[in-house]
Amino acid sequence: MLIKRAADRMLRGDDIASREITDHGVFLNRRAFMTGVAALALAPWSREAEAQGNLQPLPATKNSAYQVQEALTSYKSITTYNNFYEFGTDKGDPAAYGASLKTRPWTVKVDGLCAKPKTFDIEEVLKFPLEERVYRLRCVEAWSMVIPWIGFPLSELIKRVEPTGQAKYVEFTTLVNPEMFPGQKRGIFGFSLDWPYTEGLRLDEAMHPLTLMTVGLYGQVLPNQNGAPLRVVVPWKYGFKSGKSIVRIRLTSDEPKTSWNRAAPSEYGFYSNVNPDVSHPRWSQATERRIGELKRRDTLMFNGYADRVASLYTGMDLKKFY
Amino acid sequence: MSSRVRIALKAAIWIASLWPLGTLVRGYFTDDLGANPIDYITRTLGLTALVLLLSSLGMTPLRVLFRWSWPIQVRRLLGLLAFFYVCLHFAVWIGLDHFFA
Repeated sequence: MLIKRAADRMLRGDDIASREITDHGVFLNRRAFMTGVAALALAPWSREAEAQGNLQPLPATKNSAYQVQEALTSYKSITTYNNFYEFGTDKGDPAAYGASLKTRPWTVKVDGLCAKPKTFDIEEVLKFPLEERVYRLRCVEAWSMVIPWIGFPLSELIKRVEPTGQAKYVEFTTLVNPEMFPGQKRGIFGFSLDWPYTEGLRLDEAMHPLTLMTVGLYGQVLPNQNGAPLRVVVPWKYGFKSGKSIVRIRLTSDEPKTSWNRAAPSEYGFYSNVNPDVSHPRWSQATERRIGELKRRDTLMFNGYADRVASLYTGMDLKKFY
Repeated sequence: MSSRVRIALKAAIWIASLWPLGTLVRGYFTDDLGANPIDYITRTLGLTALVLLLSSLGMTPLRVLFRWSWPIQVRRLLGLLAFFYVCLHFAVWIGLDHFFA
């Protein structure tokens, strides 16, 4: 009897000092903490994007071939520090005035030297198989970010219209609408570009697997200040080469005139590949400030994508074709 | 100009000129200097220096055009404040932006 009673007490845990028993509240806290850690490990950015919480989630498959070992730039920095002169020349203008851009209805016309020119509705574009890729972004102003984009290879879109043999270049045109883009209104003071903003790539650059037709970032649809509803991302070139809010993609035989090249030809060339050895006339491109870091980093040739894209430029003098 | 008015004018210039520096110091502590703080600090200091320099250079023409005497009494103060901001601007550019690298 005595033995049984002792066994009962042990089953009830009476032999364990109360100080050794984890308080139920602490136990629950630990579980919540571990769940949090697990979620963080699985999707390090979706939580932060959720915290911003106002845009639609955009499901995409992570493409492990396009990742970067460096830390992601915060969602806040990516969406509040932008060069998008259609909204204004200040870094904060795109976030401040982004709401005036209406991204529906939206179409993008793909035409020029091709067999099957076509105007795509944005909903049709969003039906391409979307993937998430982490790319470095290097601005010509010597700052940089690391951004998890969502999109699909631009080549998939271009293949649909079947470019002809004469097509050698691709021109991208951004929407013109001063009602939606306050920066396109003519002011008395201040510099502005000639609208529409046009950019261009050689056809082989546009068809390169790295060149991304982009519709989202950080697990959500693209914020207006980042070029909604669709933009190009060409990670081995300075950021301005990646046209935003695109309404037309045109295949041409001649090198397209590009906005920054027209504004300052000696400063911004057609190629504008990231190159630490070719300085901008007014500053060095050898180093860059990664947003969120204090020290400068060395700028990498082709922004770290040399192994993938250097072959596009064999035999070219990159000091001449800057 | 009575000495009272002159003191008030100079006090106003001191407060207005040190305001941008104050907002930077405040922004540093409230983490409100944007995504690229060093760039923001450099530009704010540089812009303030430029505004003060042009103000100080504008005082002599004001005197000549309107035959006022008070611009001359604040010209040196504006010039010194401009110099102060130029020094800060340059120090930040050299110290924070480049030698930190």
